[in-house]
Amino acid sequence: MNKVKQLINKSMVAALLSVASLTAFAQVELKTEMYKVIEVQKDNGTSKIEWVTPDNITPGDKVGYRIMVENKGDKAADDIVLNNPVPENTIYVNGSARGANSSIVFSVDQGKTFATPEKLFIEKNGKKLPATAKDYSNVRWVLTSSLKVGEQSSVQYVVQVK
Amino acid sequence: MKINKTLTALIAGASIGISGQAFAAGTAAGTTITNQVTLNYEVSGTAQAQLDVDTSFLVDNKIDMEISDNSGALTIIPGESITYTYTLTNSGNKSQIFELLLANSADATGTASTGDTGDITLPTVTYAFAGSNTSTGSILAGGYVTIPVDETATYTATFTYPLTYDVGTNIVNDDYFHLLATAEAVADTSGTTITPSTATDKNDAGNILAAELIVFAEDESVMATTDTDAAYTGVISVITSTTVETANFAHDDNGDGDFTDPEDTGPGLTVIVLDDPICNAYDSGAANQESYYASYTVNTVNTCATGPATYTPKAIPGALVEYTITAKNTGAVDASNVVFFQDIADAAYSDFLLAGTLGNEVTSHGTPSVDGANNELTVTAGTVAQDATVTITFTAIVE
Repeated sequence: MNKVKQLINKSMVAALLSVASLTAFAQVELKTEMYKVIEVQKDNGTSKIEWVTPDNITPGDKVGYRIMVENKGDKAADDIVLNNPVPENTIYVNGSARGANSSIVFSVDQGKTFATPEKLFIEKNGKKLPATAKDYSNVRWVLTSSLKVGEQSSVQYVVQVK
Repeated sequence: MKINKTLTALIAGASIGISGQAFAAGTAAGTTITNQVTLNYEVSGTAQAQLDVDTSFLVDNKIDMEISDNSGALTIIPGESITYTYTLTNSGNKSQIFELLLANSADATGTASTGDTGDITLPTVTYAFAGSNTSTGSILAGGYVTIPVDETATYTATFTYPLTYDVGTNIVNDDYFHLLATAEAVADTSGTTITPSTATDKNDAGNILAAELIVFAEDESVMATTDTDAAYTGVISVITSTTVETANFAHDDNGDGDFTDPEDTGPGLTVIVLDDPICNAYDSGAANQESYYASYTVNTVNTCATGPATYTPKAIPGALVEYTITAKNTGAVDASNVVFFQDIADAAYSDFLLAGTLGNEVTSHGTPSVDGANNELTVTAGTVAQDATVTITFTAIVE
């Protein structure tokens, strides 16, 4: 718990608008922000999805993670790969992983192998079935271009609390 | 929900289905969920140290429950027992204590007070759970039950509808009453109220991640179109309507064949003076007779057939008086053990004292008898079937 509090303090010092945590190294900085993903009804009867600062999180709620990478070094960072296991007690929300200039792949075997959704299969009762979002154990973003000095990039995905 | 610091710009173009699948109870309150992201990269062809960032939060305590009334619309005959069956489900993510209450409700709108036509003062209603939970107790004294996550407690409340009534001294067929069954999430078996986490709690970043907040999540209880038990209060309720089916005695005051006029309520009594020592015979033409029911005021307009032309028979000593009691069972069920009591010496006609014997009894049910000391006529009519009419006619001589 100490670690959590420490991370929060850092995020508050950084005056972030959301709950966040970060780890800083000389070259590349990695930072995560957490949001509650809600559906807001509009007056005209439609609704829109919003990412808001969480006030509470209970089963069924959706939690969005925004993962930011910034190159604070003096050389380009190449072959950037972000790997994010889907947390226990949550399931990946289909179609929620996004990221500019990145290819997104998933794993259904705890990160041993990765592939795009149409190439993922699971075995059930001896049958090979196409994997669905709830089967995903890991999300991986492979950035398709280098992060130049001073540049930043971000990716995101959403899980739903079981 | 309070929405602040919205960052829609961050996810422009994102469309994520919110509806998703339904979770029953879900992840237990207090569970820590940790998101761990790792970053690998190279600089000038050299792999750099892996970066890791963890973000954790505690799953909050979602207090949620559902209550259903398995009894449906009920009917009850006075004197019978009635059983109400309720099912309470803990749909939250933590074992929860609930306080069970049962009260009269004025109507289907959920106002907890008396007011229905058939309301009774509820006796101590005991509950008994079905299944593995064998708790018993008194709902009216505050019954408590602990229900584990995702489990259901089915309980019944039984009481006998009384033969004597709280509302007046009578009850009529189709009277009704509503019971309001309530389950409130409480902190302990002393009924300590749970206070959900405040907005301040919820906006504190430390609490969001590290504290197990309390959130009321139950739906509103829809009582009727006009009222609800609001959602997110930690209280849920259901109303059961019960109709009283009983025998119902009425008479036809104005002879129109309709027994439902307000003045038709209850058995009717007709009193007619047939003759007296001055007018030796009465004109039996129906047009010349008048009957008095509710007021029991004897004020006949029978004209005298053989005496003075303008004379109206009087209830004077020696007068012959005819009494007729009529009562139709207009209720929904047969009436059994019916006994008619008629105080012949009642207020308005106390001058008409029986001679002590009955004459010319004509009765459809039972045999009349007179308690001379009390001037009370009694007819033990036995069973009077639904829609059957009791007619008791007898004469008496005014002393």
